[in-house]
Amino acid sequence: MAKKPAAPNTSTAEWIVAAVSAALVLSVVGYLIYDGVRHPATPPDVTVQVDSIQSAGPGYLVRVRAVNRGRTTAADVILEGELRADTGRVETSETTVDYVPAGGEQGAGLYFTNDPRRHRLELRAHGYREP
Amino acid sequence: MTMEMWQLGFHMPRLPLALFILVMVPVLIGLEYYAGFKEATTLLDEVADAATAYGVGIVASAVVLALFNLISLTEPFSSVVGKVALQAVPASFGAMLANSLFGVQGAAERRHKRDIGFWGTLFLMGVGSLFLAFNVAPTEEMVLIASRMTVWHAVGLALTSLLIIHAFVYALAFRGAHEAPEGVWRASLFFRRTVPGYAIALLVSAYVLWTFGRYDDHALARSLMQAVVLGFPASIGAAAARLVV
Repeated sequence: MAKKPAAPNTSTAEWIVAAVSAALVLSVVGYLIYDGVRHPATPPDVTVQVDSIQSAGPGYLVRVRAVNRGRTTAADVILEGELRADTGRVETSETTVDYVPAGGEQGAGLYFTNDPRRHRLELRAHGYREP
Repeated sequence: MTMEMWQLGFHMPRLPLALFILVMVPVLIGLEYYAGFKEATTLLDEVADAATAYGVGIVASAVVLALFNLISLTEPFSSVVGKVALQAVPASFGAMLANSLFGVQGAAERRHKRDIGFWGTLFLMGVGSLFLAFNVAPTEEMVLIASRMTVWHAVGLALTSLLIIHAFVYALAFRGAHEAPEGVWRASLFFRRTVPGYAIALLVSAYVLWTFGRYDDHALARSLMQAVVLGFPASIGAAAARLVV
């Protein structure tokens, strides 16, 4: 960019900045409009996925990710993980995440005393509140 | 001091925090150039004054945090450093701006005579929006508001922000405090000052939100909406900076 400090008249640099700025603002507004038209609001659709399983302290930590495919943000989402064996339920653990943004995700962790890798791990979201 | 400020101090990502602390250095030096607490003549003087303001900010935040019993020797050192470092940012702004806000009229008048030029105007807009955005961004309300809005609300808010900046720019141009260029097409002010001002407010907002780890959820539309929400106070900061400094 041309180096013209304190040019008295409207300099080239000034117009370049104006053009870049206008492009930036228009693309933000444009993308939001595009997104609004393309994706009408749908209710939160939260699913829970396992990120990793590791030992933590005397037990185990399952790092999970709540993914919201809906177009509305879900608040206070209760996530539950359940360890099951053929004989039935072994252990459950739950946590609450403040927000799972629309079209976004939120990480969380669940602690278990039994090794989740030795059992069947079932994850689900219990419910949410509208923000 | 909101709860989020000290909570973020210990849980926000460390590298963005470190980067932010470094970004503040040139910002403070630039601010010292335009609005410092004493008439600095050389670059070294300005750097020294900026360092002093940052130092004052760090000491003041450590003292206040200790008085509020928000830092103690029993907690992890990294948590103490994080809280003090984060709080030092607004504190150093305060230290730097004390003169233009509360200083004697003569000093303020003298400052206004310094020709700030185009890049100076952009810089001050950036600092103004950084100052306001930084103070609002940590609060949970930013996330809450953005999640309640639809994209249409966001578009409306973006247009309103532009309007507010333009009102300031227009008023300044007419008051003569702004270097109102004679004989220049008046609507061009909108493109030369208002739009860049809003672009700066949006960029600063996005940067601050990223620093605070608000962009970890990979949702582009939501991220943009948060930037637009934070961009609203940031716009006022950008537009008003020229009046304050």
